[in-house]
Amino acid sequence: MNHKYPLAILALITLLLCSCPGTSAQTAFTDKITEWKTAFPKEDVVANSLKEVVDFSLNANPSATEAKVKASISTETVLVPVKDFLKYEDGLFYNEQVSIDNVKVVNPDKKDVPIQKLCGDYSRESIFHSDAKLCVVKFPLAEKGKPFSYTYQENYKDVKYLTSFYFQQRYPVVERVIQFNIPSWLEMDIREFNFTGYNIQKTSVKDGDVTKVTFTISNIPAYKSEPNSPNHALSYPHIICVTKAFSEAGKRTVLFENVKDLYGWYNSVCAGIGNNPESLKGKVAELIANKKTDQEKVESIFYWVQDNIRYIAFENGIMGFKPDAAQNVFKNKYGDCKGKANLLKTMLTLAGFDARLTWIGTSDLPYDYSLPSLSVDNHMICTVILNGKKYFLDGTEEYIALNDYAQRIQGKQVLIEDGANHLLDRIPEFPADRNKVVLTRKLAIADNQITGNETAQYNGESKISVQGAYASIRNEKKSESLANFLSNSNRNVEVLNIATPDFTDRQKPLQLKFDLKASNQVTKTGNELYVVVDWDKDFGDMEMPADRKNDYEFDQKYYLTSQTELAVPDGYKVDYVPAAFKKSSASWSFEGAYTNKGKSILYTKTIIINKPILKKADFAAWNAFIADINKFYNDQVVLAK
Amino acid sequence: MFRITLTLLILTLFVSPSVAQSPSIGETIENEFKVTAVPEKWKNESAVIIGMKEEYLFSRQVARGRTTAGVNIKEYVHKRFKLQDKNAIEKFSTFYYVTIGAEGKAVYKVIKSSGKEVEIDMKSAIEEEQDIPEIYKPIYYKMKVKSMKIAIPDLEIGDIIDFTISSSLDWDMKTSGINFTPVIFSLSNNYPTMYQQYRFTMANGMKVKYRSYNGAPNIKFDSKASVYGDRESYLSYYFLDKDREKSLDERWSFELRNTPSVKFRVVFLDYDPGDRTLGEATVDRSGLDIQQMYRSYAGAALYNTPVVTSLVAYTTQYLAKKKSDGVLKNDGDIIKECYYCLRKVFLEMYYKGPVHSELEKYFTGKKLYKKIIAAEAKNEKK
Repeated sequence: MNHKYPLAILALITLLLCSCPGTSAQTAFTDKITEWKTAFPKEDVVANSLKEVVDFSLNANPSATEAKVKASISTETVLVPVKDFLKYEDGLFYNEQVSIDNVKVVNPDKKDVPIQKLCGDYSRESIFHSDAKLCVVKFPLAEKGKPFSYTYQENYKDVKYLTSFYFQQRYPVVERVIQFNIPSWLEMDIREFNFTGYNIQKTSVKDGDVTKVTFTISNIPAYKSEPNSPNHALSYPHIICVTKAFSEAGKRTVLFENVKDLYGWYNSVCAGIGNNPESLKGKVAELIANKKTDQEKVESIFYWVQDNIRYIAFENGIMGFKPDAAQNVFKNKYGDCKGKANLLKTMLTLAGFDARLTWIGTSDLPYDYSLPSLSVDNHMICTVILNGKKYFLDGTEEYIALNDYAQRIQGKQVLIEDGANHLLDRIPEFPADRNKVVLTRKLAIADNQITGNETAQYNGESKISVQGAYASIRNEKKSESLANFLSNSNRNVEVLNIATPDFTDRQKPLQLKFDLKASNQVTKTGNELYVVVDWDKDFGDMEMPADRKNDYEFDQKYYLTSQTELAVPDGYKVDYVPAAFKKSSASWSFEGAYTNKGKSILYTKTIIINKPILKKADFAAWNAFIADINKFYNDQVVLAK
Repeated sequence: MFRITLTLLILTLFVSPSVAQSPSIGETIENEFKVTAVPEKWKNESAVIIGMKEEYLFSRQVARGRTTAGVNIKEYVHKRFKLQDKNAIEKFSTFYYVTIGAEGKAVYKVIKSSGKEVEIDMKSAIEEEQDIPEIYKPIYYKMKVKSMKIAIPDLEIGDIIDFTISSSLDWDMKTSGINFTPVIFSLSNNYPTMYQQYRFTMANGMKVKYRSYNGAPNIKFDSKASVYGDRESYLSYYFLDKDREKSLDERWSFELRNTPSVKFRVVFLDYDPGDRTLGEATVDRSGLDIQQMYRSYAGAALYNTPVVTSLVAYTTQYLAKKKSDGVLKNDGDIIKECYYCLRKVFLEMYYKGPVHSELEKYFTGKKLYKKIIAAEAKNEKK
């Protein structure tokens, strides 16, 4: 081994390295690792602190794309790896209104860490094109326990786009702080959502001309992505800041003080749509010709838009709020919710109806219009007023009838245009039986196999989802997919001779009739036949895992009822039928019973799920319910010679 | 006057056309692409591919009168679909495409059931903004790769969509090698296909290595499309496929194994990219060249570690025993047993589980075998 430096120099360097002040930070969190590994066993990185500080400034000379009030969020995270030498990755979103600046990472030795940055368009499944962009930031972390300071700044050109702050992150945070530095010239309202059950401390301190409002929470676990999780806004604690007004040189300017101001801005954006209804006249005349009543005319236009305008969303800049002109949507035969709502409004207006643009937050959002913020809504529909009654037309739905409403908008408040004013109303909410599924089976046993026929009737959401799925399947795969759906993908059940109904009918329930053969449902033991009458075992596999972190969102409210008549084979009599079982609560219920009718057995079952979201607090009761259902399902009918 | 003209004509004949004019691609549109009706048997399909054509032109680049190591590759793709259900309408309502080169472009037409042709204004296509990592920048920027997307307006069931995509790529044989990108694919597409054609037109000194499987058509020489010159010629090869059913999504079905498939690769004939005296472009159907394979892997024989030495010694011992037992009758048997022997040792080394085979008995307790495993375990610890 050749030594390049004399040993004495090496010893000196080593001494210097060991005594430099930066190294004391290197081991700062080593003693915490065991504790964090116990508290957050599945995490690789813990943030010892994450602080967002929001500052506001007045823009003396705003450009055309800027507003008078700007905002910036300075974020500093102290990341501590719980494992050695990880590569940390973060995604920073930006768009035309928000820029990301000063991204910096400093290691425990106070040296800048090189950052890999990859930025580009961000695509969401349902949006064809938007101005949303994503920067993926990557940098290496060192040995476990060594803290890295990761900072960046988000700059908002217009304060109206500054809305939600969530406490939870992709990683656990030991101390999470959100601080608003509100200057005296700014009137701001900070709204709290889903704080119940979380120990979030709020302080307000006046520091000269600035009021510092700070929210702090400790040891907040990481957000966990799980299937069927409701939108974050529904269950996670968060803040929405409402910038109500600002004063400059003694003049008070209102921003979003209440819903009137929010509507005022929406209305001003929509004033520039540039509708030219001329090219729509022919189609409107064709659609309402031979329609006798106003309702038939509205239906004709509403259904044409549903059937012929594809959903393709452009949310580029202001197009996230401004509908595309009706003539463009009509010509292109595509549009997003706003484009479809505006086309409906324009066509219905041409047909002589009072039709209006309408803003709404879907069931993904827990807000109503008492919150004057851009985060209050995420959807646009059209309201038509017929003889004083409001009908809400959602052009993005498929196969939905007039006066019927999808689960996602039921019960939600709507903001309806009314010239310079606005109207507030609410979409009707339907009980679970709107989505009723009725199954009627007639079964017989032959050669240890069950054969028979079934009629399945679908209503409401159940019906619409079957119609939509059937329409979206490739022609040549429709029969196979339908049979698969009707057998519940159960390989023991063969579906035959399906009488295909009109899948496009919006008014009548969807009824499917077919024959079936079920194998492996009859067990012969000596003189006895053990028979499984209900092989569907609906909801039997819906037990919530003990480690699930999020509430569970069902696709819809359910009302499922079935009636099965099983003929007793010649030479056999009914030896045993399971006891009836009934269990109900405000959110769900089950009722199942077998009736011995001598030559046949009648099996009836009804399951109702009244609420589309199953809260975590209800998981234990739900799992007990599922266990009871399964006990009932697993008991079999016994026929004996 | 007549004499002057004749002299000029003779002079021209002797002096000028020694270089063949470079052929172009994408100019011939076969009659099959003009079809609007689909066969009765495919009426219930979601969509039908009426025509599909991919053309490639490989030409040598010239600088100051001399051929260089540069090759220009032009690609022209032409596809025509009939859309027959809502699924197809949704699927084709947005069109994503990639072009390479400054002249790269796409042309898109919709043919309505009335016969009216509507050309889509490609100016409204949106380029997907992507930040290319630093390391790739020179390549990407040189290639001018563009990822584009466009929403197709007014699409209805019964419409025919017809689009072409042209790209051009400069390939430097000095840096990228003399073997161009290899391609392998099935001729069974996601939709039934009425007509498909693949065509390669190559300058002197190139060949297309081509193999077809499971009944896929063979490649043919097209003398009419070939261009001959004194200094440079372009020879054209193609293969056609018609009336092809769509691929089936079945369990345990591997498309390339079960359906008519082709693999091809255009290569330069010689290692000297500046050599102009190479022969005409041709087709190589020979498949695996054992000498070339040997050259590729000969170096591996020099790879010498305790594990390899032990493996070779053990395999030799095992094969010698087999041979003395009279089990190995020909070269094929030797190769087979050699493979099984090595596979067993490999699997036990990396998957740590016993492999049950007739070798098991023979291997168990063998000193050398244990040595190999031990050597490998030692290596892993390092």
